[in-house]
Amino acid sequence: MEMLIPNLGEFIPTLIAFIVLVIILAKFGWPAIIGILDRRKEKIESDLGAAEEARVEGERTLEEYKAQLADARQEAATIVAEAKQQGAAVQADLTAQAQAEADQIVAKARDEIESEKRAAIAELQSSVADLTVAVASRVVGEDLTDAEHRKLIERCVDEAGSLDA
Amino acid sequence: MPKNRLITKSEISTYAEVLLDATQQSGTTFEVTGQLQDVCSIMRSHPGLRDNLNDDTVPPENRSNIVREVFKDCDPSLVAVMAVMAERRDMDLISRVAEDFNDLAEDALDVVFLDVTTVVELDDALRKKIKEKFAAQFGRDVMLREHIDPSILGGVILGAHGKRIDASVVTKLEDARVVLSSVKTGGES
Repeated sequence: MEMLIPNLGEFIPTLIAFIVLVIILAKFGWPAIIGILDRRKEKIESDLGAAEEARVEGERTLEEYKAQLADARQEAATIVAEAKQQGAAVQADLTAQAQAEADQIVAKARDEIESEKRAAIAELQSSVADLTVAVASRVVGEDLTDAEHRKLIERCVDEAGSLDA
Repeated sequence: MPKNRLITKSEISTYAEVLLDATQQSGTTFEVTGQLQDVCSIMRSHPGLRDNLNDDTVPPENRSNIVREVFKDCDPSLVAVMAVMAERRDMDLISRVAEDFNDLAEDALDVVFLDVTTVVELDDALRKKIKEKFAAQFGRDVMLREHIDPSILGGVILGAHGKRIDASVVTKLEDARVVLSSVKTGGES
């Protein structure tokens, strides 16, 4: 029991010392600690604000990047579509050009064939005409009697027009 | 040196008039018109003769002798006039002299000379028919200058006053040949 009851001789100086210590701390220690804690708090709040700003800025930048990426994808898609379109147009042009050249070659060949055909026909006609006239000349020259010649002359004279102007 | 055109025309008229006077005296005007045609034809088809008769290095009397020799079968009046023309190197005017002489002779005889070319000789009926037809056209009597030319094959060629009607078979055949050669064929094109 005696162990539980403080020795007043020790207790009181200790108490006084404790009170003095509390006063000293209250007077000089606590304000400094509070100031440190307040500054620490302000710094943390400031850091938190900066972090929030950074986060917001980061999100905004991310959104911008996303938007730019979307634009880039859209632009790339447009370019690819245009390239495909141009490719198709070029292919169509080349096909049309090749077709036109082929048509031209065929038309030229047909013209040449037609021209040669006409020339051959003309030559044949000329030969036939020459032959016909040659045969007719021989027939007329050899087969007509003088009397027949005179009949022919008479008919020609009858059919002759005027010599008087 | 080239002659003045008026002088040349005057010379041509002079030759033609002299020839007309001479042929009227001998009564060979009509025959000479035909002979002049033959002379012109010979001159056209013989460039060597033409050149010699127009060559100033050939003495005039030689040119005259050439004419007398080549055309010795022609009427003497015509030969004499052509000899003078040859001496004077005027034989290149012969075709114009012939034209002038033809006109003068037609007026002098009051006829029209009609050249008739056929393959066979005309008979009297044909001559009469041709004369009557063309006398009616010209209002003058017509004298026929007949020419035989087998190359025309048949029909007749008539000519007077520089105009010509070609109703020969050779020309008709040539026309037919041209038509046959140029006719377009049908069928596919």
